Amino acid sequence: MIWFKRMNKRNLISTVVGVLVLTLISIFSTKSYELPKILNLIFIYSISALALNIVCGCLGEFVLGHGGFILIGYTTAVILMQQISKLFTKSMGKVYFKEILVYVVRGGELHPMGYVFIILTVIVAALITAIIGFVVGLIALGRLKGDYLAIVTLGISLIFVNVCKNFDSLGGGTGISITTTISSTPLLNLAFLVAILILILTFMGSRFGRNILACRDDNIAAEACGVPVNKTKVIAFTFSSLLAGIGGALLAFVQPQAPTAFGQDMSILFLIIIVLGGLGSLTGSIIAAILIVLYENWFCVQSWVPEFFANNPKIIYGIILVLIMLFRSSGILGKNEFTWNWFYKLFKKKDNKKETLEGDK
Amino acid sequence: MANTVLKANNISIVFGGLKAVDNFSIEIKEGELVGLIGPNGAGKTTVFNMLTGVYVPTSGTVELCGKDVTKLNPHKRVELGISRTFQNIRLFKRMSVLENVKVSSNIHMNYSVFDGIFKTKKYYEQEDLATEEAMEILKVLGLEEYINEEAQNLPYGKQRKLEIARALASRPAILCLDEPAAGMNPTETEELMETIKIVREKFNTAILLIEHDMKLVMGICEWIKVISFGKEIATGTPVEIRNNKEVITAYLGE
Ligand SMILES: Nc1ncnc2c1ncn2[C@@H]1O[C@H](COP(=O)(O)OP(=O)(O)O)[C@@H](O)[C@H]1O
Ligand SMILES: [Mg+2]
Repeated sequence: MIWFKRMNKRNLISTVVGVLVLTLISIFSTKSYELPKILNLIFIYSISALALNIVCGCLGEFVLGHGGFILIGYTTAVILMQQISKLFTKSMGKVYFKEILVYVVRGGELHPMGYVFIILTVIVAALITAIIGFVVGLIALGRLKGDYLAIVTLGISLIFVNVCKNFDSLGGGTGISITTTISSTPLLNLAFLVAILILILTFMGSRFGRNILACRDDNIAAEACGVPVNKTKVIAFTFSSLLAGIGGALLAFVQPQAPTAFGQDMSILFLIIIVLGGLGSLTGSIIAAILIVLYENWFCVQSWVPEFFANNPKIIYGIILVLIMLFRSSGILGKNEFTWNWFYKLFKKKDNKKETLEGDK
Repeated sequence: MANTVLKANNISIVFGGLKAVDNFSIEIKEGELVGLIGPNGAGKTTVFNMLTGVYVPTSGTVELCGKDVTKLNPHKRVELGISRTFQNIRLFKRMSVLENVKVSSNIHMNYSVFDGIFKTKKYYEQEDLATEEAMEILKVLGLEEYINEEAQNLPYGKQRKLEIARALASRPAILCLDEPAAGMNPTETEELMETIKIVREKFNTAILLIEHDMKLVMGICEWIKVISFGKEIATGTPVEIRNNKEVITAYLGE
């Protein structure tokens, strides 16, 4: 446990306290009707935004088809769930299978077995997405130079969306939807987010992360320093796909319907989120994800908000993008991170700043 | 007899009809300090690019520590013991000075993704060793006070030194410096030449030094090769080169 010895104790405690507070909020949120949905989306969007930021921010390659990979994770999870449910139902009857996963008497609350079921489904879906990402990365990054990754990922996502459209088992014209009704909880999504954030931080702090950052700043110099540039790019892209798969699969358990346009919409949405938060800033991505989710799911549904916004929630994104480019092209946090050191410095000056949600190292 | 670290046999390269380098050969032994000079556009950087693997020569072969590396990628050649700096500084601008150097240490690490993520003992051992080594190199180059500074914020002369520091962290058998004094004033240049001498002794590496200003290399190189329009025109000790008629003509014609 060397890391424990080396870690700044104040920051460690702050992180633990932060996570505990979020855990309590997540657990008690289920008493409310709207809050769980918003929290779920915040956690899942944060994961997907972090995934995109690894390639766009840390590696410095542009991706236009991130939504396609989220959709792959989503679809895989749905299909897995349907097949497994069919399999079990055949052997032991529909009602009994459901009883294993949820407490039917408590209005469908998740049983521990339900958590295990969701986690396993998410992991399998993520692995499948990662394999597809690996192949795409190998083709786009290993063999092509320049901005081809953007185009290739756009192509892949278009292909996938259209394949889904044409096969009824993958959703068909109306989009895929879940028939088994088990939904996950904010607590589970929070656990995934915290685990992924730690995973990214440690990964980026290792020799692999250093290689990725070196490629971002200068491919030629990186190669001259012994960095296997192509391999590094494929690793980063595969890692990003894995996390996008997790994001997509988690979404399947909170949003039981994915419209056909889902893939493209998501690609744009997450580009906006990471640009808003600051390319390369992990905590920036999370802050931006929070803002976007609150805007779409809280602000736009308030009764005092003009109907125009409620009907066209996306109109503001165009305005945000233009404003960011004009006045703060580096996004909210730029390339900085929210850290506890920064946070406590702020605290010393004035006491009225509220605690930001995410704990950094 | 010292071993040969780098050898080029009759390498040539053609760019769209133009023969940028024509039948260039060189052999550098362990620990030598060699100069490669020539007027601007003579093909010096192109030679470096072939030695380090950025370009594959149209004909001829390159050997590194006895191995034929003519078709090997640049990053694989680094593992075999060659490293370089660039004429136009190419640092990892947004990484810290220490991280810049540690990028080159990566080839000496072999901990797994698992070790990295779970921060095992192996991770700390290798990372600490790299940090220690990087600090030592940075100290020799007078950069130890800047370790946490972003590379792009360093003054110009320090950036040039950081490039050398970064190239040293891969523990090269031969270090190729492409006009390291470009853009420096005479005092800075003189100081840099002293540093290069110290670097060779401390890190026990051969050095191939490109310069277009021939006075600079005269002082420190053991022997010098001169090229002009892609062709070798002379090889010899500084004194021989200074009195070589062809060299004088090439430089007067510049
Ligand atoms: N990638 C390339 N494509 C075409 N021509 C090149 C390329 N690289 C170098 N050259 C040409 O090769 C010649 C030698 O260039 P260079 O090696 O940079 O000279 P030096 O470093 O001696 O000043 C120049 O005429 C240059 O234009
Ligand atoms: Mg040159």
